[in-house]
Amino acid sequence: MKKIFSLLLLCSLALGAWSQAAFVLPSPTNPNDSVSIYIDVAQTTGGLKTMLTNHPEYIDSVYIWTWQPAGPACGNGDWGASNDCMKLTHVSGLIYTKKVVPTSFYGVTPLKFFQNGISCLAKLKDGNAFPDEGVGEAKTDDLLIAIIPALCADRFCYFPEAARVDDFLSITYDNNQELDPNLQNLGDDECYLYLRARTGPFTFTEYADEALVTSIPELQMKPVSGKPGFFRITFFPADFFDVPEGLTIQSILYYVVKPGFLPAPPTYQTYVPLECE
Amino acid sequence: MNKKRHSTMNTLKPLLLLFAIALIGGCKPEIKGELGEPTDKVKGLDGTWELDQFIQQDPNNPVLEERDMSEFYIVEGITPLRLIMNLSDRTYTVEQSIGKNFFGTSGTWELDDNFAPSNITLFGDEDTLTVDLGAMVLPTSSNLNLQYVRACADGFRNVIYKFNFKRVD
Repeated sequence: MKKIFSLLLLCSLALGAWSQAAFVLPSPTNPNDSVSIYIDVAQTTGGLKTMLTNHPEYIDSVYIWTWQPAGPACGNGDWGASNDCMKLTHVSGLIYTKKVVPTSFYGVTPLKFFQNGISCLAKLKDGNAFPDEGVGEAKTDDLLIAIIPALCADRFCYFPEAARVDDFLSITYDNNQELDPNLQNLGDDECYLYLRARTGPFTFTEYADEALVTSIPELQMKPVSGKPGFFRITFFPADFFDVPEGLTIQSILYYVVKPGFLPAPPTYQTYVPLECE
Repeated sequence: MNKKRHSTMNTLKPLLLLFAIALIGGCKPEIKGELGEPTDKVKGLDGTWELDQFIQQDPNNPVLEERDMSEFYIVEGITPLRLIMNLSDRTYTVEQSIGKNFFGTSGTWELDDNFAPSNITLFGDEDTLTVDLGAMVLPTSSNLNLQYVRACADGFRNVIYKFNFKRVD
């Protein structure tokens, strides 16, 4: 019965997605994983739909033009000549897709991706093509795709996903996914975090010197009840770091250490707090 | 002929149903006595409220995950955060020795609607904070649930803090 219900739920979600002009799959979405952006030109307004109907020879020459959450890392190109990296793959009818890893494709943090969603449109390589058709530019209307964040399944997860520096922030670490053999199978009282705040391009405020970390209870990650191998630390960044007056926390950098072992060189993880008025 | 009779019956059916409903309604006994004054929702807030539970919720999480973070506010041997609400002059005072203070130290308060309140605004000495009321608070209520929804200017909600108080006085 449960399986049938789940199947029906999945089907209805998929149908919901397919009935929109633009959407992403899978949804909920992991911003660090591969995601397919779909655009159904048949469900859009703008000149492109008519042009593709009148000029089927252009069916495989549709490009995405996107500006949010940021301009794409490889660049949109010019309006009259889109970059090749922005070309969409024709699926069927007037449906197009592009597979991307959002954080690298846009060069943004997961937070910015969730907060802003994707703003885009589909166009021909030359957005000014067929000026005599009388249907405007060779593009769709502007499309906005809202993103539903996926439940985190990474080695490090944050709660809430979008925390400000003056919010409680929890970092959960899944030691089962640890790649460094020296840090695998940590005991319940062996997991510590070296933490520092970046306040400028080259300025940092660390909570404590790396050599002292495993002797400071505030830096110990506690085992998560009912989840073997998971550890968690919760803190209030604005109060936690003794940041000099006039400076603000731009990002939080950290790595795991255990008594008797300091990674050298360490691989820093980064959390960028939400900035908003 | 049969067809015509059947059609007449179809027209009559809804009328008969309406008649039956009116008949049943007419049999109801008349309401006697007064309904009384509406319950005073403002008066319900008057008193001393002590924090019983603190929950953090992520509104951007697909399952709207909540975590009980009471350990940051409630520690054995220490009086938890107290909110003292005075009805007479609509002032409040905060007594807190542990946990992050979101409410300030003192100020005045105001409900958005005295008859059907959905939020309360705390005009503190340094800041103004509007928090949602989780449920109606009547003079007989023993719980006060406040929800602090943090949102950016563009409307993006990043976190919800739920403060569940119990009445101690």
